[in-house]
Amino acid sequence: MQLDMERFRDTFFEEAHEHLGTMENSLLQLDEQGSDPELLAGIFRAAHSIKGASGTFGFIAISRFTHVLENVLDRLRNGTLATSTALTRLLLQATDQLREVVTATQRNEPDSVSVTGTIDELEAVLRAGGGDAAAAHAPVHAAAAPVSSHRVRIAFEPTADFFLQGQDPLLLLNELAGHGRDVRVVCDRSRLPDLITLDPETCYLSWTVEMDTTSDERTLREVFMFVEDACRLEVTMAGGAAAPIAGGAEATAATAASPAARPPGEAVPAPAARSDRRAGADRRMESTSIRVPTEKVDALINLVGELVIAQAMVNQAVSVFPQAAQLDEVMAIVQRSTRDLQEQVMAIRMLPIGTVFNRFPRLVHDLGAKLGKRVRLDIEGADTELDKSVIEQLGDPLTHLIRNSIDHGIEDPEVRVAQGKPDEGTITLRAFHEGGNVVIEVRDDGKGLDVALIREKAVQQGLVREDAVLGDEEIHQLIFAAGFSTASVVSDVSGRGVGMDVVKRNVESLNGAITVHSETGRGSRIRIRLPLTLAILDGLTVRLGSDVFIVPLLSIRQSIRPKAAEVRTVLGGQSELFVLRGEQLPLVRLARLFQVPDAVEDVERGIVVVTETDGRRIGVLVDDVIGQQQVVVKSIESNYRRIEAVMGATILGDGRVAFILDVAELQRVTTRRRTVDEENGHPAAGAAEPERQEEMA
Amino acid sequence: MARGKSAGPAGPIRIVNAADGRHLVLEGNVGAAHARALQEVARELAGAAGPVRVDLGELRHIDCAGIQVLLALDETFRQHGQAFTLESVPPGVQATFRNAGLDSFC
Repeated sequence: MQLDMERFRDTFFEEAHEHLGTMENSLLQLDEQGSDPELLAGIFRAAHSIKGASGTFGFIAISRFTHVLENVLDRLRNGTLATSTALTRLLLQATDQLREVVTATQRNEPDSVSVTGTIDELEAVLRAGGGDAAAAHAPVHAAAAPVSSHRVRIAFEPTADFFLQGQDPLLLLNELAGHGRDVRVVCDRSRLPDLITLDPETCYLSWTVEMDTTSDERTLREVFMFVEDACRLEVTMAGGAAAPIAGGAEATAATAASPAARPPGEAVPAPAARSDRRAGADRRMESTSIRVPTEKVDALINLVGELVIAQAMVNQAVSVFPQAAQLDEVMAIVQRSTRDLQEQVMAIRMLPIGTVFNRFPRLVHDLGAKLGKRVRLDIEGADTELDKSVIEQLGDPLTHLIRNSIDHGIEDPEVRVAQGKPDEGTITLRAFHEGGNVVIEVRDDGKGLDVALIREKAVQQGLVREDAVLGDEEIHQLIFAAGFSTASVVSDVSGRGVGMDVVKRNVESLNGAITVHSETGRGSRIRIRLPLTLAILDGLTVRLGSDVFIVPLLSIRQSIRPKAAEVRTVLGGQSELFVLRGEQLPLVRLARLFQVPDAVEDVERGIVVVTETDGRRIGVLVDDVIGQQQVVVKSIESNYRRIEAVMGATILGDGRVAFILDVAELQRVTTRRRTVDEENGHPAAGAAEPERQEEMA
Repeated sequence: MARGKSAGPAGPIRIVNAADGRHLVLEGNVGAAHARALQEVARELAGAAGPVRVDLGELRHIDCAGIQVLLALDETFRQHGQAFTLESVPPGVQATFRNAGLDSFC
């Protein structure tokens, strides 16, 4: 068997980042609620895992740094060091640097990050003798009586496939040696074959270690806690019986009672500390899940998409047979099973939104401290699932929203107290399912949007006319306009005027929608509505000549059969406007854009589908509306080539390919063509009709 | 140790043909991924006559899979009455051997 270390290497980096996330979040919780053995054990385990695996791969920079960090965590865990805000800050700093080292190692530049300063600080904490760092993190048990040491014997026999599990016994022996003095290690090489028959990926060695130690049995066993299922382990304390481990079941069945208190002959039970129970739970989790490359899942989804299309085609084909009635029942079963299969396969790509929410406690913690504000982040619905591709693109928009809430929404503590609010502001990040979509809310209890200021700035920036009559809700929406900002000073937190419009564009690129609701003095709520997945889309099927197109349902405001008088020609006949209840919308004839030859020319025989994106509406003229349907989105770019104003394609039940419109790009194409026409000397709409031009603005 | 022309696989494992015989040079990090390549090189050395020196001067880390191959090579040479020595063992690697109960090996 060839050991595919590259595959393990990728897995190591994935897992290291997960462990770092766990460390970061647990440290933040520690900062809030003070010392908690469960949290400390979790942080220690995460660091320990990174150290162990990094050593296996020879990532020395990671394992050296983590070793020092782990020593500090170990002392926190066993109570010889007290938690404090200063120490938590140092550990967060160390976590950040460790993440940098991991990332640099991933890029094969492990030495590009200098961690000397942080290591010095951590070692100063460990020395706990003199110096600032040591003074800041004084040991709790400095005056405690010295613990007496005892002789211990540990027999350790890794399983033959130990290396294949990414483990290295030497790292465990190194760690074990750190627990004692007068360490005597005997290596049993009796099973090692000759060089010719040796399989380099099989572990043939085993060890017996004897040493004087002050560590208890539980602590010694924790050295092996991640390999319990991959070794035979016996720990014999001086004067006591051996407590063997040959797999997880026996390890968790025993207890940590004192050897002296046990009747002679009774097996020494293994420890039942909370950390061990957690380790057991983690192992159970691991055994019920597997890591699969995203490409494999995508290939599966693609195949199921093809199957859904094929099933629809079969359905349509058999419907013309005279015996169709007899096939109805069978087809219904096939259809149901196909739909179930599709749902199950789509569910594989679903991830809990907590994977992106988890990055925000740190952001809120750091930004609040930077701005001198007290801010608490409440997270609700972190288990809500969304497609992986949607989740991956949510990070930036949510970061913008939360930064804005802290910078502009939450008031300074003294201002809040003066207004009768608690000095600590609250931002709530919430996710929930609603009507087949996922809704994400960012809510704060700050000062709310300043309607007068937004309006004033919008007028100054030429976004609205001075005499425009706008309701509060309409004014709130102006925060999403490109380049809009109410900040008078540009800071590195926000106020660059490139925040909310980018958020809106990002959300719309995910086929989502964003709204804002605000009450002066009580706070704001921004709501993002997203489809569960990008692979399936709810669309309106429309006909153009003999072709069919799909318009994403989320972009559609209404469909209307126009009268000839409602369509006006402008720009020297190059463009048309559709007048909808006094509002003039650019009208796009899809047939002309896509050069469909046999489409209707007479507008009264067609339908105008009114779409809206980025706050702007356009009318799209089609021949007819066929109906709504859910379609499987296929990339047209990877299968054919990029087509302007088309986001993808789908295959219909009759086998025909239908383009799916990219409404946002259609909007941009329309605007661009109008601009080119104007530059070519054609009169703009408003040039002929000033009143309309103002409305367009 | 006299340096000469190197042969064998690229990476952390090299065979150097020097005036005083053939040397196996291990550099950087030798992990489980290199164990098979190390075995190939070790087999090549085991088939040659004369003493073999293993230069660990530039070795930063070696894992158990790599050490097993060296142990097997050592055993093969012993059986054939040939000399096999580890040279320039860095302190960090020495500590690894010591903690693995293999102090006598280096």
